[in-house]
Amino acid sequence: MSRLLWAEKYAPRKVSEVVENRKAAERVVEFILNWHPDRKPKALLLWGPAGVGKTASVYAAINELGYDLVEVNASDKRSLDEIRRTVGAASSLSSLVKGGKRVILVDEVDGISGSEDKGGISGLVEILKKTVYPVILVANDAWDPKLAPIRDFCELIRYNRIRSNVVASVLAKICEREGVDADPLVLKKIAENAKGDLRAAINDLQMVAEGRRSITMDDLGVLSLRDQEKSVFDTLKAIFYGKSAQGMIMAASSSDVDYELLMQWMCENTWQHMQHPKELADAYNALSRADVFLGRIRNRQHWGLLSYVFALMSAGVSLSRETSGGGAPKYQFPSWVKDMSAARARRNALGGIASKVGEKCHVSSKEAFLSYLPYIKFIIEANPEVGAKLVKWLGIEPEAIEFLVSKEAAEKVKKILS
Amino acid sequence: MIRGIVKDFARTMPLGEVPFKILVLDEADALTQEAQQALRRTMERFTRTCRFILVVNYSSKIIEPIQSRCALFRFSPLSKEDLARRLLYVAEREGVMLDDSGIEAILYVCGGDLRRAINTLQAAAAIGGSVTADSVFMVTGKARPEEVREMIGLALKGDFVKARKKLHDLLVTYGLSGIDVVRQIHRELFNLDIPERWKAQLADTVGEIDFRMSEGADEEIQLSALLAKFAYVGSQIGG
Repeated sequence: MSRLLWAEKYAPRKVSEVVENRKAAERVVEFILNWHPDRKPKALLLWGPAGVGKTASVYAAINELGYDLVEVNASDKRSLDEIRRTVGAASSLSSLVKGGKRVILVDEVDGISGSEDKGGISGLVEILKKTVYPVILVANDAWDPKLAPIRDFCELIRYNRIRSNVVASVLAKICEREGVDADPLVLKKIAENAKGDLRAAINDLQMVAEGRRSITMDDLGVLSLRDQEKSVFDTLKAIFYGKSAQGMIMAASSSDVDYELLMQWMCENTWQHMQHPKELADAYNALSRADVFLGRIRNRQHWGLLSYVFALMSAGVSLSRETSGGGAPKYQFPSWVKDMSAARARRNALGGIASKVGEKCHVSSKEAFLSYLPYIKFIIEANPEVGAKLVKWLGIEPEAIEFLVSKEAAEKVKKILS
Repeated sequence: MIRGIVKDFARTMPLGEVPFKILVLDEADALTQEAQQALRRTMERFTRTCRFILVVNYSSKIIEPIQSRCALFRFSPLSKEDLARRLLYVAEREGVMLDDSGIEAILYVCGGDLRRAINTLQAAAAIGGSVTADSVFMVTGKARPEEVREMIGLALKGDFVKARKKLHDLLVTYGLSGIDVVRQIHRELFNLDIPERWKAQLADTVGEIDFRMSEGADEEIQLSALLAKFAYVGSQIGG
């Protein structure tokens, strides 16, 4: 039996083997080859969701180019002192290796902890200023506000989720190499379940296929749904179309998502099932009561009250209707959660712009936000040429202005600047 | 912890003729986001020496990059048959007499929790003799479900006085705690022969009484008030 994880065994060795995000991987190679201490950008920031090949394309690139790799990641302590000791030493002139062929990889930069890794970000900025080797940073969220000082030195490269047909074709190749006869439908199913995460799909495949000659649909039974939405839909259906109160409560308490998130889903979708104002009011009142119990649990640690939370949020809500069933509504992801995270990204981006403006114009970032941003917005919208100069002078990341102006104007500015 | 003990364990070679070590992180959903971040690369960098098993209640509490590195297996609740079979197996190996009423009582008291069920079996066996419904309810300090049902039934029929007498029996004669009684009422609620809508509404009332008692209110007064509420609801349903 092989002792390797397939996700590792079949990781790309060459950039040409990177799927879906190949352009991004090619940019990594180009960056490494053209890198010079006096040239910009000093570093790359690769960002995107999990399992789409960010770290893998760095490994593929250095493997192909024959470079030496120095890596730190979230499993290492990354405080100011530690960063200086590890990355700092590796990036300085005194450590010059033969031919100078070295790349520094700072993986999971957004995982630099605020408490344990105090000063880690400023340590990285220090290093980015004087490094004699190319630096590549990797993150899930490039717009995390704590990364703002780093972004100034970086070109941002975005990695996308991998389309499921591409994932399926990779799985098919692995099956061939492993001598597993796999039904294409099975591979399609695994690929769809992974939601654009290739590593997850390969892990799932290994679990069902390792050491076997063939796999069929039946073998997938042991795997659990990765698609969280799909499993929440099933829970909601069981709650709203259930026959007995007990069944509804069972559905809620055995859901794959935790009860706090499930409450958000209920809050988003309950109205679709309620025909009359009274039903609507009763249903949301039941939800509100469930939340009151949850608050009591949080405040006083009365965990025994949890069963009432489940009863009220499921049967309490669903049975507020005079008639059961109703249409077949299209369930939505909680818009509150989505709006909050969208607002956070926007707030972070605009806050970043405001602090840049504040620096240049010698005002507080709050003042910049209130009095300067509206004019900058107007100028960019009205005259992208001048706007682009302004953006450059202020030192704003071109990607950030998408949050300030219309998409068209942002595109124009980006084009002029590139 | 994650960067220290876990990482050191993961990267050192296993001893003896084993292909790799296995590290189990039980209740991994209690790890903070930061701890989970610290874990992600360790999980895949040292696969030659160590593999990870994370055990959680909710997969939604595990960050996506970690889930991406795992295969997910969902454990379903155990069926009554499975639970009963296991209890009989344990009883047989331990030479304990366990009758059907005993099994049923254990399943009632423990829900789908097999660990609790086996603990209960051991406790009931410890008082000697065979394990029956009586010994199970005695060691767990729970009322027989029929008795709770009878009390609720009396209240719903409007016989508040008799229902309250029954309550006193449970509290005094059987020595149950008020919290235990109210939790059992909550369970029995869903077995009652009343419209489903009322069950959901009564759950709110029962929960409120439970909360008041958790906060230190008097058991006898609170449960009397609950029975009075049942009597009122009974009149609404009937009429």
